[in-house]
Amino acid sequence: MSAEEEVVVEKQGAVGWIVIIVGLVLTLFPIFWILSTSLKSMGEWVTYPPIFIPERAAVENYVSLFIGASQAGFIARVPVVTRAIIDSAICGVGGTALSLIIGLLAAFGISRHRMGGEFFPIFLLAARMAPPIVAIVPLIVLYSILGLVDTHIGLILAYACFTSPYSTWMMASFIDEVPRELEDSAQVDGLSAVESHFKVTLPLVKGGVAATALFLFILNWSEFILALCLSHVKILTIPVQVRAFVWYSGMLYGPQSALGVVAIIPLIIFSLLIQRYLVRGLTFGAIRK
Amino acid sequence: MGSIVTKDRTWRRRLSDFIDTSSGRFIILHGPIYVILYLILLFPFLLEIFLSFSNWEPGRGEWWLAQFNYGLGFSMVFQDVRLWYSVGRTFLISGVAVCVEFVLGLIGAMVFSRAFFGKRILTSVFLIPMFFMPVVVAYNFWMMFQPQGPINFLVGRIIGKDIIIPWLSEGGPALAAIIVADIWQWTPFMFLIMTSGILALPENPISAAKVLGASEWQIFRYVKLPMLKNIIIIAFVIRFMEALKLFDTAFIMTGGGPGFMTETLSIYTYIVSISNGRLGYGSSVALVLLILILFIVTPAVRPILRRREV
Repeated sequence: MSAEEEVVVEKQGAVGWIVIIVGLVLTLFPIFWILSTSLKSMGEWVTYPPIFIPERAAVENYVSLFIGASQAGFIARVPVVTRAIIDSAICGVGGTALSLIIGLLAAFGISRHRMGGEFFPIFLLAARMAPPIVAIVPLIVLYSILGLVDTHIGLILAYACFTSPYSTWMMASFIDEVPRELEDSAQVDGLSAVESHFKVTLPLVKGGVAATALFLFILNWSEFILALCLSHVKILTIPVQVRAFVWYSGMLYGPQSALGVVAIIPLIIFSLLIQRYLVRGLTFGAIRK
Repeated sequence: MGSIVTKDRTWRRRLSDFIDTSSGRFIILHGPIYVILYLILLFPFLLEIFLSFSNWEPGRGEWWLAQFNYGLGFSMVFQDVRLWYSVGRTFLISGVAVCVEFVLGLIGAMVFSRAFFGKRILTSVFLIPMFFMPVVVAYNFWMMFQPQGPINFLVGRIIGKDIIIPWLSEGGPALAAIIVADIWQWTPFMFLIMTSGILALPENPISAAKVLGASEWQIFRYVKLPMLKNIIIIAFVIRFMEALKLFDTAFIMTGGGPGFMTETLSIYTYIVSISNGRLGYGSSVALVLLILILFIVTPAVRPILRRREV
């Protein structure tokens, strides 16, 4: 008789269902609100009592984001956000790729060779835990010396740096799970240690690499403060665009909400794809499901 | 072996031999991350020390020509009431938000440890807020907390008379609004981590307690909770550290206002150094905050590292 057979998972009781329903309402209401506002036409934006379900779906809110102008009779001009989406995609993908490469290499070092000793892991975690704002001023100076202000490369480097703790720890947790013996036997066959990392272990953690990449992309896509301080005119990522929208034309509820919805769609899709690995990513590999 | 190999030693062979030495491996594997961490973090850190001893403001010439301030920046930092209020406020917001998130997340995780219809889908739904872009969360709550927005309206309907609370233009309510937005976004984090913690609990002690006639509450309090201790600590440390960085939400919702009633330490540093352009003084502030936070972080991250080594 094994212990597993005895395990009976209890059924949900009435109290449990009440908690679930209350939680569901509280979770979904803000999501419902931004979706519904993104589909309201101008007259419905600020009314009292507020309108919950728009009379007709005002798709022009979404359209105006891509063609701009005041075709729907908006009080202020709607900025064209296509460029922000492209910039965000370039910086997000670039930052993710760079962070993934350096993280993967460092993870092999930590996991297979115990490189870095006591200092490196703390340095790495502290780099993530300290607020980015404390590095901003010297970073601006450094970037103006190197001519990196307002360039894609500059943002990509900064993104990669601030997400590298996540990529390193997450990849290390995947690599830890592949038995070392596989590499050892490959080394007996004549591969060097580094070669065996890439030829033997890497193919086995492909899934982990993909999950880490999506996780990093989610972080980079939402990054606000670095983009706000290190780019001004030439580069405009989505979060900065949202902020500019709110501060300089605060009345455009409809198009703004539409931009918010457009911005989070990729995040929701990616997060569903990697749900299994989320705990590992968020806790730097400290907790593995 | 060496004598045979020497004959066909090309640069490639030499390179691969070098990679096989321990310093070669170090350069290949840890070189890139050190380059980027030193470039983006450590070198700027040294620069920050230099700048914090200067009175530099961008309008007044180049940074390396700025006047030496004889450590005046630091004595100003320690007398800067607005800064220390913002630090205290940040700890207050983080403390309240993280504790509420933990309790809600734990309740959710306990409910989700039972079997019921639609569990998988509902889990995914409950995790959605965590992936909202913080800026969008802030904008969304900014809309909802308008005096004529849905929150005032719904609360008014529930208590039976119309209320018009100017959430974002009064100090206390504005803080509450920021905390609510943070709780909405990050309760799923606690929920997720506690769920995986409860899932990993060994079954034997729990069934033993059941056989001995322990009540549901006793099992939770004396069996499950002690076994969850490590995971709870890790969740708290990570969430609290992230909460201390709070910038996006408060910056969009209130911009630190009204007055400076909702300034967090990140927002204050931003306002001093970027909005007011006092980069020299901003560096002193940032440096003091960095040292303060490193003092908290270094011991706090140990549970995470210890856990990894097991």
